[in-house]
Amino acid sequence: MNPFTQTVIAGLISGILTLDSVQVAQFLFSRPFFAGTLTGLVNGCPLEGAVFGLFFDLLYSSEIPAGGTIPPNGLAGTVAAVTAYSAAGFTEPLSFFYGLIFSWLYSPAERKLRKIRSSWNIFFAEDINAGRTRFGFWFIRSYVLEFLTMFVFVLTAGMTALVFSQCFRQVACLQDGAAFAYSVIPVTGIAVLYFRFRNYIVSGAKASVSASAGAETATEATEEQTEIQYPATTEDKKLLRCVFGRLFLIQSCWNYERYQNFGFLYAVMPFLNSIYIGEEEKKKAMLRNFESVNTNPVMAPLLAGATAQLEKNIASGAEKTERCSKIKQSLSAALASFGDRIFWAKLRPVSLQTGLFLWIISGFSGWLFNFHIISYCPSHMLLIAGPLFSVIVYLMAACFMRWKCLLAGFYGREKNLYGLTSLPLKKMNRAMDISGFIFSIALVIWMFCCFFMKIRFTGDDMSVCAVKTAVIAVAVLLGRFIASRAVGAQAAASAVFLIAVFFSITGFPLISICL
Amino acid sequence: MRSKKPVGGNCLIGCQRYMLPFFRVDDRLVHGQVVEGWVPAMDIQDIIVVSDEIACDPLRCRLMRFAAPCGINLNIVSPEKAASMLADADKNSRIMVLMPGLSEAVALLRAGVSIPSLNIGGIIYTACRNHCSGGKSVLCDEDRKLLDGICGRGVRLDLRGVPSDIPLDMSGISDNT
Repeated sequence: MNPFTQTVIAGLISGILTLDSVQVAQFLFSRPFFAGTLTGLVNGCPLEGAVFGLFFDLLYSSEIPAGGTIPPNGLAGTVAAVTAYSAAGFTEPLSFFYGLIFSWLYSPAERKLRKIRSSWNIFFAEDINAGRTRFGFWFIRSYVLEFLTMFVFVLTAGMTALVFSQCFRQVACLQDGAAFAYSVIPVTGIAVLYFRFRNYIVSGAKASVSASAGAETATEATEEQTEIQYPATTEDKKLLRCVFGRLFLIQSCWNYERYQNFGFLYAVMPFLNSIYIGEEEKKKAMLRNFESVNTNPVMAPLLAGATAQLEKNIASGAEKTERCSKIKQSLSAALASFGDRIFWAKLRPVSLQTGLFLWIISGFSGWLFNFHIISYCPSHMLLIAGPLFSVIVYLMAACFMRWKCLLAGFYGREKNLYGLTSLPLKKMNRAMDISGFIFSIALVIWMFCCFFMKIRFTGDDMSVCAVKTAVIAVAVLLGRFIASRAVGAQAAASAVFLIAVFFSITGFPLISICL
Repeated sequence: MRSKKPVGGNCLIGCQRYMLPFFRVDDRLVHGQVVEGWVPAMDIQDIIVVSDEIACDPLRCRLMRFAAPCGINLNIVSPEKAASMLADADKNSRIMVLMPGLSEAVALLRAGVSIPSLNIGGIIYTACRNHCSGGKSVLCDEDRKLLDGICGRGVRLDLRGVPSDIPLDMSGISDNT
């Protein structure tokens, strides 16, 4: 394939995958680990693609898209790195840091898209008043815009790489610096995971200590876990199934002004249709639900279910509309608080770790080193199995939770906080902490064993071994800073790169101490 | 790890030093950005939610308490109560003050609380009142007045959602004209 075709194909793949990250479903097919492997497979460098993706995923595991923040885009970065490697012939380390720049550059573009979509709210509200709803029109418009942005972005990244490929090849210090910094990245990434989960475990343990002491947390009203009756009729079941399907589009047209309002209104339409018969009342209800909705996509079904409740109460006159919107607001914040913690902050790295363990168990450990040295290259099946497994773990858990949340919200009542207390959220949170921590420890132990074996068998002399150990220690420390959010992952990785380049300019033999 | 953080009520995030208590305006109050972003980054132990409206609403109080992370002391109080709580607070306690709107921030200032810097996380895009047009955020007159009043008292504004964001500048926000 010629470089241009490769870039275009990478652009198309990333354009489709980016829809998953913002607009549709959030199954995490857009996670760098998976996207990198897929793009690499198509572009003829699956191993490098998978490793780029893995590093981005590890590095960005502490950056979460909570409440509309836009972390550096790992997908854009990975695909840019793969194109730089496959199309423009950069070395692997340099492609990775090239991708790092583009992962950072994509955030402003995404921000701009979300701002553009804000202005659509007025048009849609007018449409509702005029008695028509054109969800398809706006959704497709937003998908096409998102797709094109990513496509053009990756194309630009690829073309820029092609233009500069000749210049970079000449500069030896850049290559050496990149190679060194690149060898540090996996260590830092694993350290980030370890310290993240250690912090969760520590704060969780402190909380349980203070709860058993009991004195200070006296103000805290503890909610008992309750059971919900599911009086499922066939009509309800049909309705719920329909809403469940629609809820996968909840983040469509995500905009800064009212967040997920487009997708939310689309999801609750079947409820509104079944509750309201009069056109005027339905219009009012639609406008009510077109106000701002900001919550975690996985937990959002509970809000949709509770909305059905509240709308029924409004229709029968039992509840005032303003109070309902206040309750919805509080409920969505509570759901976001749990959902962002459990799914974005914890399940995403945990599912990454499960994928990684699949690799490790089947004997693929070359990604930890500058893997030129390790000649073992796994089969394509194994290579794709790791990322696919991590996506499937997340996808299954998220789908299960979405359905549970919908049922809880639909059948919950005010006394059990609209079904919120019927879900074992705190237990899930804790379980996620513990499993993540165990995985992280296993990963750290495995990493140190690997380094021990390698240093022992490559026959370096003592001083080189000592320097390498020091480098590992510094890399771990860096991971700790990233995990405590004192410094962004992006900034830290760039800093390592720049320092390494600086050292190699001064003539320091960096290449000999690459991990 | 806690002991190594500076005591005496401040913390360093990126290149910026924040004084504690940390004041934040966000209509969503306790949600993902707060529990995953600010609370771990600043090692917050107490959250004070300043809102008359929510303090009087048992259901919304229950919801908020249920969603707060374990081990965090959550108080939902009126501005006056918050002012007295802040005055009595231990110098080393790590407090975060959350306000649903700018009017609560003004009420706190009136009650004699000194706010060196005010983080604004979720007011600019509040629906129904403020809107966006052509890439710019437009504040309604009421909020614009309040914001001017707050700036006039020497409060430094810090516009960002989570600690790792780059702070926005005020030029992205225009008047309603």
